[in-house]
Amino acid sequence: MAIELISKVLWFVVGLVIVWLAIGMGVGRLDEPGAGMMSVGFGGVIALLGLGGIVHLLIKRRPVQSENPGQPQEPWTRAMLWRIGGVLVLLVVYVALLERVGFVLLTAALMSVLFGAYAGIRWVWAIPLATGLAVANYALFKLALGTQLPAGILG
Amino acid sequence: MSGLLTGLSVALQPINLLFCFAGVFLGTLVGVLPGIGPVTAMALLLPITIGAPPESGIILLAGIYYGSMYGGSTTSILINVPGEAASVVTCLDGHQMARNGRAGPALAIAAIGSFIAGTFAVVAMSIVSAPLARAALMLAPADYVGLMVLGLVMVSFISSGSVANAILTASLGIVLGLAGIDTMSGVSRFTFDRPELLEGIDVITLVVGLFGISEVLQNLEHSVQRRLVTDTIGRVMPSREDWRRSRGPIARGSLLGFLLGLLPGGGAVLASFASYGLEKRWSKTPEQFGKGAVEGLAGPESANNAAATAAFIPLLTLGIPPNVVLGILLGALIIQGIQPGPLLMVNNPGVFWGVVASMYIGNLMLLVLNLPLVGLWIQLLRVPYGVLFPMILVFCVIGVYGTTGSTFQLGLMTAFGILGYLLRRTGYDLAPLILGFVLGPLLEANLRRTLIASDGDWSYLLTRPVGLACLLLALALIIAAALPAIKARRETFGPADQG
Repeated sequence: MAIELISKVLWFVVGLVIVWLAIGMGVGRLDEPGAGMMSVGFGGVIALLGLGGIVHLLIKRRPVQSENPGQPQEPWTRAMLWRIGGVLVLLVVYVALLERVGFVLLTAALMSVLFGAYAGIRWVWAIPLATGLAVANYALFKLALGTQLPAGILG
Repeated sequence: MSGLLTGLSVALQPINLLFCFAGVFLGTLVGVLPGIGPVTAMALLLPITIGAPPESGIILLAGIYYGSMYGGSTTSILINVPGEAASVVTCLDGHQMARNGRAGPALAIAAIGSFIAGTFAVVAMSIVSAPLARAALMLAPADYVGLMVLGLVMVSFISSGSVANAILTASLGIVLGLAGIDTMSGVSRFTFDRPELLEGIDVITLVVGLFGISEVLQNLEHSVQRRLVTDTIGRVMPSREDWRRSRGPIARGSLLGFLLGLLPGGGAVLASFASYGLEKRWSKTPEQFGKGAVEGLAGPESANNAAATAAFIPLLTLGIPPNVVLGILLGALIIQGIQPGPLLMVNNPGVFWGVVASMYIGNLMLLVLNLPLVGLWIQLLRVPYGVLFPMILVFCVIGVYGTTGSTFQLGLMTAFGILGYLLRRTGYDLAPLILGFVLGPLLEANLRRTLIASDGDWSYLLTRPVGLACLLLALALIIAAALPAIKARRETFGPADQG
């Protein structure tokens, strides 16, 4: 109930923000539609459905029927959040350092940590495996296919 | 006929045969691996297609799409885990056949049924495409508005969760699709003074984030226990009795799948469920369904492949993608400077007929690939997810950075990944969001043209027969979705994303 209510409140707020921003773009007239007309319309739809959801949940005052009865979601556990949060933190650090450090070194480091921490591979195997995969990806995508990838400190 | 010959001359070029093979092989691979779907695979390979000739790039992406339909059945049959959404129904009887020691015949029936249905759909496609494209030339912007609204409502109707939730995500997708400089007025929309957003949100960044990253995050919630039914497949060829029982379901599934694939918003998921229902009603022994009935496998497998192929028709002839996977294909065509629609056959016959002809060849390749390589696919299923997901993350980074060369886009990809994960976690389907994103700018352009041409008279939208029929059908679907019986049924169908 709490998560559903929070999600509906967020939708409502997002809808209002879209409408507010879109009005600033110019709504125009029906015979001369402005840049913000469609966004006002769909932002309004989002806000109204969000508001409708909030009212529905508050009036019912009980958990509504599961959105997806075929696949009930288990609640978040601490271990689950650690696993997901860990990957997200690593990804953010990776993105922040990618151009400075370079693809091969940083990818080898990222994959080593993930192989070691998540796949349970011993470090003595994880590091060479990750390095090999990083070099292979660089060779395939950058050297063979011409995809742009930062060389970083090795460049 | 001359068009098809042109197509064959394009599809049989060595580079296109190579791209076709790579597409169907990768498609089967991603169909087999439960942690990665065709949407993610296409998004990751989109950058590679930019440097290739347009027809080769589209042949590769199309191969991934219909190849994944084949591959998805392998995991459904062997480990009861659908590789992609359209293979959910295959689990019901295909997996039961495997548990009864008949994994080989189940895989063979799935592969052969898919081949027959795919080939039927390609033949039908080459027959109906030209007349449909000629008819589409007579459509006005108001008709396109109706078609797009119907497509969005259909996707919302067949997606998992409530229709209200689907409309929410579709609306968000439309707004995201409108970001960037408005080409008519020059006003920048939702750019927040970031020059990277002036050309709009990159489709690759959005799709890779929403599907690639969020799928990884969702899979990290728990370790998937993959249990193979059997290490050895045993005898592969179906018995005479299996053939006799499969003939009818394959024929009906092919026809039904083709017709449902044509609908805006229709597609492989809808077709496979509809075929299963039809076969169960048609059968004299419906009680065997769910216990390893050959008909329950042959029909849906044929239907989902026929629908996957038929779905190309609205994309190539009208320029309207009927599902999320083909939405990405539309993005790929536009990146290549090709505008799908009624004039595609005239302006780019090599691309149109080349893709159609490559599907004939691709279906044959899949039949040859699937049965002998079943052992390889089984080995792949043994790769732990802990080893697989770091590679998926790296492919996501390569896909986005390779096309944009910007770490800002990588940050945006991560943000969309978190958004996608939270939406999935709270019961929202992502397919309407992507389709809204792709159709949003087209819908706006056609709506503006209609309003300007009619001097602001919105009722003009109701004067065009095709547009009016589509809008009425869309309204009927929204009303139907609110009916308690239909609401309960469609919400138990589960996720219909991933195309």
